Amino acid sequence: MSNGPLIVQSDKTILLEVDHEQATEARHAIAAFAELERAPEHMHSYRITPLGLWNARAAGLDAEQVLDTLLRYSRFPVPHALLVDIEETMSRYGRLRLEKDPQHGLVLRTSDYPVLEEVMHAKKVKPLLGPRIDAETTVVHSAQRGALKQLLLKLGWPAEDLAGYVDGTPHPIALTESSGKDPAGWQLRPYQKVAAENFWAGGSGVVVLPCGAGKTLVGAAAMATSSTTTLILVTNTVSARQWKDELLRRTTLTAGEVGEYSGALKEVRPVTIATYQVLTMRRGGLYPHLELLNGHDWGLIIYDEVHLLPAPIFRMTADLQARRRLGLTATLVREDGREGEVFSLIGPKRYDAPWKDIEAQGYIAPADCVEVRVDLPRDERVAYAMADDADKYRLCAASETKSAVVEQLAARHAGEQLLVIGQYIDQLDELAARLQAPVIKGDTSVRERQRLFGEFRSGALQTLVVSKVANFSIDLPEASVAIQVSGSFGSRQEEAQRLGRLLRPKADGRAARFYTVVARDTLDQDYAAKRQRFLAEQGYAYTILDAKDAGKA
Amino acid sequence: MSSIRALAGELAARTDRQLRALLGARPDLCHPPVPDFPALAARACTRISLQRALENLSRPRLDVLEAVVLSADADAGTAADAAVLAPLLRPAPDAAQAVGTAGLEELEEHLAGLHALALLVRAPQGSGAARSAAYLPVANLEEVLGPYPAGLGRPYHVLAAANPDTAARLAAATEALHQAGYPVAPAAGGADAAAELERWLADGRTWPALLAEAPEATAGLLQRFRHSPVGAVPRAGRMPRIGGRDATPVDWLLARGLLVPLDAAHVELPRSVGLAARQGAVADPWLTAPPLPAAPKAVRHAIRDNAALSAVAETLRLLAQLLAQVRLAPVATLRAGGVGVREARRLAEALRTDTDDVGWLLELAAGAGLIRLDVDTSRWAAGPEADAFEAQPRHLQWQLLVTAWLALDRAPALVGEELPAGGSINPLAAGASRPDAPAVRRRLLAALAQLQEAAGTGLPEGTSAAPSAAETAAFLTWHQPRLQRRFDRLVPGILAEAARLGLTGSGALTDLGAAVAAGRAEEAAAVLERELPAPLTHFVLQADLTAVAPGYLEPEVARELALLSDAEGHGPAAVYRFSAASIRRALDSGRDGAGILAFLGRHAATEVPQPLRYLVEDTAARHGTVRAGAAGSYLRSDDEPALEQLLADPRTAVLGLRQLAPTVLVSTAGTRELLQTLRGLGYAAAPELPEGAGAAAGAGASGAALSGTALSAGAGAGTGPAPPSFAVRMNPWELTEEDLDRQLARLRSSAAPGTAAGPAGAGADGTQPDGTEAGPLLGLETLRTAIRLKRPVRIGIVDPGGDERREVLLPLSVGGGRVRVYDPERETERVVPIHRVMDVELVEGN
Repeated sequence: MSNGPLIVQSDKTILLEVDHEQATEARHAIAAFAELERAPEHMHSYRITPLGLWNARAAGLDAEQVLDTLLRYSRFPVPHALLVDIEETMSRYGRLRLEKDPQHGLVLRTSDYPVLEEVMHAKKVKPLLGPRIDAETTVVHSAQRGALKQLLLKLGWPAEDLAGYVDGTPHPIALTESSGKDPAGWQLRPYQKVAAENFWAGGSGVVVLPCGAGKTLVGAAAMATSSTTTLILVTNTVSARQWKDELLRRTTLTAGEVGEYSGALKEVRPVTIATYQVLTMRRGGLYPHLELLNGHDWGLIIYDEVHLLPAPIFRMTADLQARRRLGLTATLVREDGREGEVFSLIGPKRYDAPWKDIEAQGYIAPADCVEVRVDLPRDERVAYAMADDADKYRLCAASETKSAVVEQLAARHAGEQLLVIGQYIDQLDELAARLQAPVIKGDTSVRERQRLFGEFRSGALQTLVVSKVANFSIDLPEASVAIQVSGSFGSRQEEAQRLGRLLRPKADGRAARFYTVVARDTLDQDYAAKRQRFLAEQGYAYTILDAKDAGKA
Repeated sequence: MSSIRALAGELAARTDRQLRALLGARPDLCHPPVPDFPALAARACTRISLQRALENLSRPRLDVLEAVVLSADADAGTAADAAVLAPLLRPAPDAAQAVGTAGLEELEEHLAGLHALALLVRAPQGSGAARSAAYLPVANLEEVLGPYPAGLGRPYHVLAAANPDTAARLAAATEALHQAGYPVAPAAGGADAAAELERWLADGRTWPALLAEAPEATAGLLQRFRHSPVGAVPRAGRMPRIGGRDATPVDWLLARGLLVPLDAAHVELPRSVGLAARQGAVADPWLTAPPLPAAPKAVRHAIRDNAALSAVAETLRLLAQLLAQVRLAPVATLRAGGVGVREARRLAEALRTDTDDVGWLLELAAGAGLIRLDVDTSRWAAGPEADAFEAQPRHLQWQLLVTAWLALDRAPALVGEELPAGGSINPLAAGASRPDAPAVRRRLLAALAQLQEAAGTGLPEGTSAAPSAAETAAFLTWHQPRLQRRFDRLVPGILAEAARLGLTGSGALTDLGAAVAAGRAEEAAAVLERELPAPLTHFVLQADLTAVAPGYLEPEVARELALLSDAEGHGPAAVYRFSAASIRRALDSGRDGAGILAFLGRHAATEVPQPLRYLVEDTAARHGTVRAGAAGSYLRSDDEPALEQLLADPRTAVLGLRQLAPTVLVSTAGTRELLQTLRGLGYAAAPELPEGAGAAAGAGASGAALSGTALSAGAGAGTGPAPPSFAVRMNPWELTEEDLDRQLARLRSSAAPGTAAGPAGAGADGTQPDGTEAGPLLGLETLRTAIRLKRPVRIGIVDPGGDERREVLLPLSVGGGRVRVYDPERETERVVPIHRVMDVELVEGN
C-alpha cells in the first residue's frame, strides 16, 4: 500500500492528513469532486456526494480519473463498494442533455431512451415538458429550465446543460487594478483571481470565502470579465451602500452607473444593487419588485450572502437559468439544511478554501477564540432549574454575572477596538450603560448606524455594543476584540459571521480575540458547544477559561 | 446373475491400485470399514452411495451413464458398448470429433471410468457385442437415476403396464392410426399396442414423415419436453380425432398416442417419441468441454487487490465491533431459534451498518466459535475464544475466520431469505443450516481457480478474469450436473462471502483466494501480513473534540479510546468524539482525570488540545457530586454516639456496616437480618420501611457482576492470552493413506475364500447370504428381479414366534421396508416386513 495522505472511509467521507507532504497535491485533486466538510487542525474531512461527482463530470472529469485519484493518494485500500458507487453515479450524468435546437428551441435529448421514458413518467416532470419530437428528444418550456434541472437532479438523472447563457446587455466594466508595485494601488489576491476564473469557466456557481477575505472583489472581477449589466442582491441597505462604495473604488464604474434598489430608493441603472427585503416584499399576494429580476436583460446576477437566500428568490432564480449567476458566502451552512437547493439553482461550489489557509497567506487576521465559563450564582441556578423550557435559555444567557465578566474583559483590552455582541436588548442596554458605550439595535436608524460605524472605524469610538443586526456585511475594519454574550440558540453561521467581524487584516498584523461568555451547566453551554463545533471544524481552536481566570490570562 | 455378485467378483479381482482409486473416489464405501468384497459391492449399490457417486460425475460422463442405462437391459441380456452408445451421444457441432457421433475412444474412456467407479459391471462374455467391452449398470442405478434418465419419458410398455387406462388408450390409438392409414396394426391389449407403437417409431422413416404433417408449433412444443418428459396440459384426458381441423400440437400428438395422458392435467412424452424428437440422441449436444465465459470480464489487479484488502480490513473491523457489542450485551435469541429482527437491528445500529452485515458477522463469529450460545440464558455471548482471537494479529484473525468459514456447515447468505410459511430466515437459526455448504465452497474456490487459468492467456496484462455468479454456477454444473440446484442456490451467496473475506476482489480470484483454494491458508495469511499495515498506537486529537485514528489501532488502545469517547464514521480510520457524557462514562468505570489525560498524552500524535484538556479536567472535577451505591439496609439515628458504638462493636462485622454520614450507616445485610442481629446483640432498633428486600437483591446482583469482571481481568493479565483453539470440523470424506491401507488389508484377508471360489462360487451357495451387509441387499435385488420377471421366489421368513419358515411366494412390489407378496397356495396377498426376511432365492426353471 502507498503511504498517501488520504483515508477513504466507507461512509463516503475522505480524511486528509494536513501535515502530509502530499497533502496540498491531494487536496487539489479531490477538491474537484468532494466537498470540504470539516477542516480542523490536523485531519480535514471531505464528503463525496452525487452532486459533487456530477459537478466533476460537468467539469470534464470522468469516473476513471476519480478512481485513480483515490487509489493513488489513499493510504489504505479504498472500500470497493464506494468505487462501484462512484462509477455508477457518474455514469448517470449526461445521459440527459438540455440543448438548443434551431427548430424547436430548448429540448431535452438523451442517448439512452429508457432514461427519458423514466423521467417523463415522473409526475412532477410531465408539466414542464412540451411535445415529444422523437423517441430521444422532447421540447422543454424554456421558462422551466431551472425547475426541470432541479427535479431531474432529485430523480438522480442530472441533465447536462448545453443550452448556454444569454449574453445580456453589454456594459463596459474594468477593474482599476494597478499593474506595477505601486504601493498606493491594489491587486486582486491570487485566490480571488482563481475564484473568479473558476466561476467564469463554470458559467455559474457559488464561491465560498471567509469573512474579510474580499468576496466583494471576486464579484467585481466577475463583473469585469462579464462586462454586462449586472444585478447584485444583498441582505440590507448598509451592505448595499458598502457594495456601491467598493465598486466605485475598485472599478471604472461611476456613481451614475450604479443604482440602489431598496426600500428608500428605486434606481435601476446598468449595475443595480437590490436588497432581498425589497424583492420579497409582498403586497396583495404579489411580489411587486420581483420583476426587477427578469424584467431587464441582466448579463450577470450576483447573490451576496447566498446562504441567506429567501425562499421566494429561490423560486424566481429557477426561472433565470439562462443568466450567469454568482453566489458569494462565507459559510454554506443553512440551519434549514437547504444547501442542496443553493447548489442546484445558483450552481455548484466553484471555489472553497479552508479559512486557515487564507489566514496562513496573511489575507485575513489570525484569531484566538476564548470561551469564558461563568458560574451562575445560587439564586439564578435555582431560578434556572425551575424555569419553563421556553425561558431557560434567556435566563442563563442573560445572566447578571456575565456583565461583570464583560467589564473585566473590556478593562483588559482597554485601548483596542472592542465589539460586544448579544441577542437580548435588555442585556445589551445594561452592558452599554456599564461600559458607557452606544448600542446599535434594530430600531437604530440607518443614519445613526452609519455615523456610529464611521466613528468606530476612525477610532473615535472604541467600544460598541451591537445586537444581531450587525451580524452581516458591515465593514468594521479595525475591530480586534469581540465579546459575545448571547446568541440565537445554536446557529452555526451566526457564530461564523460574528467571528468574521474580526477577520479583516489588522494594520499591525495583530491577532484578533473572540470571547464567548457562557453560563456553566446550562443550555447556554450546550448551544455554545454546538456553535463552536463549526468554528473548530474550520480550524479555529477554542481555549476554555473559567471566569475567575479570565481577568488574569 | 445378480449384478451385486458380479460386482463383488470384479472388485475382488481388481488390483490394489484400482481399489485404492475406487475407495479414494467413493470414500463413503469404507465408512465404516467393510469386512469383505460382497459387503463392499453391496454398499457400492446402495442408493445413498450411488447418489454420492453420481453427484461427482461430470456432464459428459453422466450422459454416457444415462445412455448405458437406457440402452442396456440386464434381464434381456443386452449390454452396452461404445459402438452402441456412439449414435446416442451427439457432440456439439463445433467440437473436434467427427460430426454426428461421439468418438469411440472417448466413449471407451468414459465407460472405463464409470466401470472403475463401480457404477457399471462388465457384461458376461458372449452376451452383447464381443468386439469391445460391454457393460451393464449395477443394481439400483436405474432407480437412483430416477424415472426419467436424460429427461426421457418411460417406454410405452411401462406406461401401459402402470395404468390400465393408458393401456386401453394405447390400444385405441393403434386402432385410430391404422384407420388413418399409418402402417400400424391395430392391437387389442395394452402390451401389444405398446410393442406395435415402439416398432413403428423405431423405423427411421416414421418420424420425419410424421413431423412433416404436424402443425407448425409441434417442434417448439417438443423442445419444451427437453428437460422433463412430463408436462401440464389442461384436459389431458381428451381423445381428439386424427385429422380434426385446427388441431393444436397437443391435440395432434394426443390423437396419435405420441403423448400419453397421466391424469386429467398431466401428460408424458414416451421414451421412443422423445428419442425420435431428438433424432435418436440421448445427449444432444453432448458437451465434452466445460462451458467457459465467452467474454470474461477483466479486472485490473490494482482494483482487485484494493477491493480484497479493503474487504478484509472491513470484515475484521466490523467483527471486532460486533464482539465488543456482544460483550456489552449478549445477543438474545428467539424462542424458535435464531436472532430476531429487533436484536439484529439493535446491533446494526451499534455497528453503523445494516442487518445483512450483522447476519453475516454473527454467522461468521459463531462459526469461528467466537460467540457461543449460553444454553441457560439462550443468549449468544463472547467466550474466552473471542479474547484470544482479538489478541492475535490481524492476518491470523483472518486465517482463523477463513478456516472456520470453509468448514461452516451453514449458508449465511440464506439469512434474510423469505420462508414459504411467511417470515424470513433469522441469523443463527436452523433455517440456514446447509451441511453441503463446505463441499460447495471448496468446489467453488477450485472452480474459480480453474476459470482463472482457463481465461488467463486471453486477457490483457495485469488483469484477471471476473466470472459472474451465473457463469461460475454453469461451470460447476458441468462438472457436477446432479448438484445443479444446489449450485444455483448457494453459489451467489458463497461468492459474496468470499468477497467479504478477500478471497475474491471485484469478482476475480485474488492471490489470497488462490492460496486458500489450494489449501495453503497459512501462505495466504503470510501474504496478508505483508499487505496489512501494522497496527498503530497513536491517534490525532483535534480541537473539535475528536480523535482520529489514521488506520487500524492496537485493540487495547482502541478499547480504551472507545470507552472515553463515542466512535463515529465508518471505514478504515475511526473517528472518536469526546463529550462530557463519554468522559463521565469513563470516570464511572474507574478512570480518573489524570489517568485519562495521561493516556491521551501518551497516545496522541499531537498535543492534547486545550478544550479537550479542559473538558476532561472539568468533568473529572465535578464527577461524583452525586454518588450512588448499593446497600442492603440502612440505620439512621440522631444519636451519633450510638452509631459510633455500633460501628466499633466487633460483633457487628457480619453486617458489613459502613458510615455514610454521622447519622447514617448502611449495611450489606437485609433489613430483617440487620434487625435480628442487632436485637440479638442487645441493641434496640426499630424497622422504618418495609422495602429492604428489593435493594438487597439488587446489591447481590451487582456485587456478583463486579467480582466477575475482576476475575477475568486478572486471569488475562496473569497468564497472557491463551492460543485460540478452534474446533474446526475435518472433512469426514477425506481418507488418509492409513485408512486406505487398513481397509485394503482387511478386504484382502477376509475375502480370501471368496476370491478363491471365484464369482461363480460366491453365487453357488445362494442360500447363505454373503456377509452381514450384502445379505439384505442381495435379497432385495433378487426380489426386484423376481417382480420384474414375475417369477416366484423361495423366501425364508421369521414368524413372530422366532421360527423360520420357507415359502414359495410371488412378490408383487417392494418398498417402504415391506414386500407385498402373493401366496399361490392360499391364493391371498400378504405384506411381509423386510426385516423378517432371512433370505430370498429365485425358484429356478419354474
